[in-house]
Amino acid sequence: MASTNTYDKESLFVSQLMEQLGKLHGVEIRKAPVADYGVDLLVVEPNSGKRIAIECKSAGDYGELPISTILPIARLVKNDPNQQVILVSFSSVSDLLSTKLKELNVPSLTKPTVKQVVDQVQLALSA
Amino acid sequence: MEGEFKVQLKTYDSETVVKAFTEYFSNNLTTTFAKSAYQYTGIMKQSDFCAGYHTRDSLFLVYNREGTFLKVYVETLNQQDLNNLKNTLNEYFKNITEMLDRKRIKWSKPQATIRLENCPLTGFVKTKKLYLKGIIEDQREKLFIVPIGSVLASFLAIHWNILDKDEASKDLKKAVISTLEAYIGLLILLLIGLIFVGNKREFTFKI
Repeated sequence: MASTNTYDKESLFVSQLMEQLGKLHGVEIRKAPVADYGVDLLVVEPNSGKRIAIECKSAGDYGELPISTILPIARLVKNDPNQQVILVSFSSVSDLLSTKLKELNVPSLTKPTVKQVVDQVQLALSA
Repeated sequence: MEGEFKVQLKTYDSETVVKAFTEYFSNNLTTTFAKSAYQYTGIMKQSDFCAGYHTRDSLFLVYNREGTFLKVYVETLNQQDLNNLKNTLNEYFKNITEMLDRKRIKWSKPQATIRLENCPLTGFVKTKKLYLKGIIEDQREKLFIVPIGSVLASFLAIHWNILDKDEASKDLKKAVISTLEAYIGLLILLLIGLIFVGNKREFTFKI
């Protein structure tokens, strides 16, 4: 039951995040499942062509993201080097995974608020 | 789809752990890393791991020490077969914890996870404590709620003249017998649990 509740919370978080991102001027939000992108949320700024991929991950009762989480993220970064990837984790992130994410230039937000993610997206769009 | 499990070591001495892996699994880290999915991404280095072992169909890699948890990455050749990965993960877990026991390295808090896109699977070992907790939770209705409900219902039925005392006492007797049956059933399950549970060394996975 705990896992179901956690899943509901995460779904709610993603819905709220979509709502807040939708308020940003001049961006399009696309939500998974979008087979072509393989991410949970994709923020696109059509004028500049900038793309921000938001990966939302949870490890459930395991408590921390498995280090192998780096595998799909590395593939995502390699497939489109012009796309900025942001990791939103609902579980803790180990030091090793955190180091590898930094190497890939992927900001990770652990148990963030919706506002923190929106701020990070705005930062990435302005870069 | 990959798996990972971890156990907390009471005293984590990296040198002793690596030595144990070398002794029990030959520790062919270089070839194991070369076979793993990590090899292709280039982001993880062989130096991020301290031990490895592979067969034709599967492999495990042990991450370098981080805190007091021994973390093991498990990968199978067939990336689509979840049951195969579960079985492989359990087999490696059994072998590695047996190795730790033989080396008298105390471990606790075993946990496992399988990374599926958008749906993490978490595994836990069903210990005696968890088994007993589960039984009591399952039987809660029969043991506590139904008997209390029956007594209350009989009392209210008499109070509102729906049943006379004789009929109500018959219902109460039935409720007492059902409750006794439930308690005897619980006792048997507890005894089975105490005797048999806890010997299995495997993860049970839940979504």
